[in-house]
Amino acid sequence: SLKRGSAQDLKCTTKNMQVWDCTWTAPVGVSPGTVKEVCIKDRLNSCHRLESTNIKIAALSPGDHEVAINYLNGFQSKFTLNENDVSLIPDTPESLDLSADFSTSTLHLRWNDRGSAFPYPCNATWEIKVLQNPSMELVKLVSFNTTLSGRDIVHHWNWTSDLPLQCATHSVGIRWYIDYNRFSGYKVWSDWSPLKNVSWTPNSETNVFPQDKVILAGSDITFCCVSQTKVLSGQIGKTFCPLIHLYGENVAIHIRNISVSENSGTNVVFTTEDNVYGTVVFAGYPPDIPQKLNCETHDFKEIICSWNPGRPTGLVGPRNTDYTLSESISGKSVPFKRFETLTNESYRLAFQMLPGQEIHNFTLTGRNPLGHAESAVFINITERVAPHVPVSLRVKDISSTVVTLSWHLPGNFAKINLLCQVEICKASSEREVRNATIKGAEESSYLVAVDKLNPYTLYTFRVRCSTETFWKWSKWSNEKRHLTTEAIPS
Amino acid sequence: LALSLLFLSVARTTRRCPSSFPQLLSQLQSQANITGDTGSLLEPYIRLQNLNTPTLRAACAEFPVTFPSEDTLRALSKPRFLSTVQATLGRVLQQLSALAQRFPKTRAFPELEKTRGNVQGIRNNVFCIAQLLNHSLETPKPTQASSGASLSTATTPSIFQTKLDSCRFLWGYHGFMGSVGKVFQEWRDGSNRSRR
Repeated sequence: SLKRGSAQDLKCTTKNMQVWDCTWTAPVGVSPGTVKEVCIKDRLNSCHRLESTNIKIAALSPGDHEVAINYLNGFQSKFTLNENDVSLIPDTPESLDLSADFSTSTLHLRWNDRGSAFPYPCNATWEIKVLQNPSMELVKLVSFNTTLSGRDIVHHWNWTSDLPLQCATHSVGIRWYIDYNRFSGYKVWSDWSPLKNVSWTPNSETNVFPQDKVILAGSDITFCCVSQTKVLSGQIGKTFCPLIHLYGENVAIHIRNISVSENSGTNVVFTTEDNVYGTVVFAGYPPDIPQKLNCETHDFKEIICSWNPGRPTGLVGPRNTDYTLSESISGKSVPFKRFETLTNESYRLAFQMLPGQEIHNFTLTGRNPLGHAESAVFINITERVAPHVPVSLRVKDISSTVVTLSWHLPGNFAKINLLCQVEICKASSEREVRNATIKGAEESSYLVAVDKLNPYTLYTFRVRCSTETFWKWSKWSNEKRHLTTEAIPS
Repeated sequence: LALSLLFLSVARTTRRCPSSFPQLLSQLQSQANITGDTGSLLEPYIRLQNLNTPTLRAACAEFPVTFPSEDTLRALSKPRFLSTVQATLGRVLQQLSALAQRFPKTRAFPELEKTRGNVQGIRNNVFCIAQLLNHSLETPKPTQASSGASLSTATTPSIFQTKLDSCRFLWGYHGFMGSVGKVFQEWRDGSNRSRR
């Protein structure tokens, strides 16, 4: 008869919910290597002859399944196997590549989720740890979910370290577990992947990091110093800061709420017995939204856009704000040329007009190392005409009570009507303004008659122009003094 | 103000030389003394670059860029001395131009432009005095000491290193001008004695 004994420590795990890997301990009195036959009551009622106490079987359908182990020496063990007892432990993830951008102290991790090993879409939860050597201090632990889609997908993860990566070797590990709602067994974390390290190869030139960083004013930042000899002090500007010991003689200082730098930046300095190491940080702001963006033309040849830059960024020179004006209809764009030597900078750009284009959709973008901002304006340029000042004003007698005024107005106004004003002043400071609508022309002089004047009277004339669709007056022309002729005695 | 106008006027005329040796010598000596004063360039630079801490001042002064020393200058013959000053100031002008590139807003550092004008003025006067003495200003072989005023480093230095290197250069430059002033003073004393 079959001697019965219960299987001890039965453990079934699966990596991919398709194959179960079961192991058990042989009953007392039975050597583990004894040949046995394992029979499973499932759809196939399959039996497997084996010597070890481990068997890989295709995943069984949900529910209890009776499994009998018949040892050739007459022993038999029986146990009930249910998916509920199975642990889903995925393979250790294989991180493909760990790289570092030392200039931004950013780690880039790439790994393959081996999704093709899983027949059904399921949720994967990943956990990534970053350790700082040599103390292997955990500096970052992050977890997030992805979906396995039946295909191998390479995932990316970026992390920017507070501490410049140059100042300590960092190690990264990753693990995961899979949550498949139709799998009723235990979901267990995989093992951690082998740690991948990233370290900086010190060169003698640079010891303090980050170098020449541009950061948002008000943010916190850590500066570190790689040194062979004892660092005695660390300071930002004139403020000494407590040294944070990293390892060896490497130290760091942590700055909170950094204030805006002066033009030449803020010096961060570490001193040792015989040397000084340092870096410069530029704390400022991203460009403000350009304010009062105004685009108009004086002459229908070029459009002048002007704006107010808004809040100063605190950044100059190569870190100053670059502006670009782009016009979407024509697709043209114009960079702003900065003349920093001027005492007060004027923010203006000239955009060459395209023949026949009246509607313009302008976007002005300001960009600096901390960000960008833009303003837009949509105009019909015929409604944004601010003519130049009229020049070469001349007066010509027609009669003792009528004169003609002529002037030149630079620009191409052929497509519009000009609205001009003539100011007539008499010595007695009587002042009269008359309007005149004139057909525009190209690079032309214009002429109007002024009647109802008094004979033999000293007048002062001046003129200014705008357009029928009024936007702005030009400046007044120079004044022209004129004595009307004497009336012919009747 | 009058003096700087003097520099400018001389600088502008470049090659119209005063004919009086004592006048030229006196001009050169006062020009050297003015440019030897660290207040004319180094101090404003230190303030502008926020290097005005004991630590950074020491770091600046400790390793000044090497210029020909006073003893080296004093030991040179008149022609060699003039040639050395002319060549060294030529390199100084190059370095000052490089420095100017790093100052977007010239109005923030007007002393730099003034110094460039002064150095050009000194070079003009050195040319004139060499002409008066019938010395040709040959380009001297750079002696180990006179190699000064060159700042180039292999890799692109960081901004902090550039600040410090420029500070060390200016420290060396002012020292050099001070030495030049003393040698011209000795020339004057010598020529005064020979006239008695």
